[in-house]
Amino acid sequence: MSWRPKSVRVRLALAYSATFGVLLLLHDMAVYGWVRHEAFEALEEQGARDAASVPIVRGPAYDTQSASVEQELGELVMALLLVIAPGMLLAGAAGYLLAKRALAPVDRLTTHAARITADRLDERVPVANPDDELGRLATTMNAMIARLDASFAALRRFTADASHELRTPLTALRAIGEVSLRERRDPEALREAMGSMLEELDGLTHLVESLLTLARSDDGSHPLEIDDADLSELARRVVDQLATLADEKRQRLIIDLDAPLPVRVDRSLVRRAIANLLDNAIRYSPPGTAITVRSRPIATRCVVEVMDQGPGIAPDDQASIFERFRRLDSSRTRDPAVDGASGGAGLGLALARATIEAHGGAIEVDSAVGAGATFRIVLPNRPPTS
Amino acid sequence: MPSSERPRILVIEDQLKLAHALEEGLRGEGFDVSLASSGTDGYFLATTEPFALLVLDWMLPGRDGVEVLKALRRAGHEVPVLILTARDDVDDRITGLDAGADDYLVKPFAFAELVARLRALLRRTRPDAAAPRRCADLILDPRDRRGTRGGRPLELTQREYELLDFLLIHQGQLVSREMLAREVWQETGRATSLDNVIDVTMARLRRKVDLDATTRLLHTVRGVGFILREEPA
Repeated sequence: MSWRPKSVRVRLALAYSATFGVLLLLHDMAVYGWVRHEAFEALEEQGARDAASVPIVRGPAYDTQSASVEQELGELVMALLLVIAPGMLLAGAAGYLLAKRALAPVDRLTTHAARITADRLDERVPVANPDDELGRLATTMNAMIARLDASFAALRRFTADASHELRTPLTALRAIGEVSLRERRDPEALREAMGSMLEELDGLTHLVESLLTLARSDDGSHPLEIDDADLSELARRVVDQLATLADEKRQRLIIDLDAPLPVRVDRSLVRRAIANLLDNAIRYSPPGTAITVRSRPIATRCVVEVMDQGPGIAPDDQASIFERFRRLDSSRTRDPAVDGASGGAGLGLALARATIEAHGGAIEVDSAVGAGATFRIVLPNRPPTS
Repeated sequence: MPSSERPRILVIEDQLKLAHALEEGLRGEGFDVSLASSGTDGYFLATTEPFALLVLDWMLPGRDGVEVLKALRRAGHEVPVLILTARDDVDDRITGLDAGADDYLVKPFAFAELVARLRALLRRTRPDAAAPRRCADLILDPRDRRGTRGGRPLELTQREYELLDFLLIHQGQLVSREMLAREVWQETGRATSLDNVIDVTMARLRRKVDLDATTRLLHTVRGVGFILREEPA
């Protein structure tokens, strides 16, 4: 179809009018056919009666009568056809009005939806009757807007947090640079200043990389490199790697890694998530305490746990520690000795959670203040057939 | 390095600050550096003058890096090429290597890393794996994986041995934490926890190697990485 009316109302009215026209035409043809049939049957009957007295069957009388019947029928056709045009017009007008009435809420929806932009996502479209089709459409739209609102808010908060985290090392960079240029310094002091700036830069690089990783896991643009793996083996590699850090703090590592736990995961990402948990445990636990790394199967899932005897996490904080840029300054203070200049920006647990959830798993914490913390990664089993 | 042996290197990079920093740094590392600031200029230079190495920025005005690289390879130039890019998607990496790049470095990179990779591209041959490595009175023997400092045996863990071995192979050169993470710890990604592990392992190694010695061999260059060389304590 090359020509398409822009309004649904017009389209409905035209369709309505056309349908009515076709129906009228059919009706007219039926009426005409029936009348014609009846008229000629009557004529034939009369002719048959006449034939008894008059030997010529179809005489001039018949022809005259037949012609007059044809004329009458012609007039009937004219009358019938004349009705079609106004009938179609009327039907079109009625259809237009009906459609207009029925579609009025759609126009209201459109006006409202157009007003709701990225800045006014707190508004909602009106729901006239929640039970009819348009009401359901409006309700669905509202739910969609609510989801958009939530993700825009999260994005704004994330951007603000990220800018703040970026600003801190930038400020340090600027201060170190300006101060060391202000006075005459010997080369050794300048080297020291440059080194310090490079350390800040290193932290910035880490931060930007973490942000990129998170952004990719958010929009799913970075596909996981899924492979068959053994969760216990992944945990063991992490322990091997980080044991030095625990050793340095004279912490005891208790390793209880069960027999092979088959999973299908992106190995390096899951290892990084486990490393983050163990690194936190080492970092936040006092020297001399024990840290347990344990793996085991639970029904159709595989579990890795990292248990520490650190200060623990208050129940109120347990949900928020997985949020981006959350660092619990109250109970878990940073330790500059292990944290260094490139220390975490509070993205580690958020990254770990994003990773594990991307694998269809979950990350949990059990803790009470003063009673240590247990972080748990739960991943689905690899089906034996695959 | 005598001047006749200075390898000629062409850096095609449009960001002038970075280009000049690379020029100065590479010159200091013994390279003979030429600069080009656009793909067109770079292609012209690369096809008219002999270079031992090419450092090529991916994003260039006029003709982008991959285009230049493809054109060079089509024209039959075999010069080793290292691509610099701010994009580190796997797809981009593959595109770069498919176009004929020999190596790939993501911005921001450590200068030490760039130098190490360029040297590797020049060398293309690994150092003799079985020959003992030495620096001053430090000797590491790969055959029995044992080390001595001034005749005193060193009690090295496996990781410490590998770390010391890597530093000895690259002695006199700056070694970044990225390089150690990749080459010694075999980690592709670089996590904060691993940086801490590297620092702690290095501190322990230093206690074993440089303890009681009049000459310190292991040095930390703040903000950059580490270097193994003879230097008075």
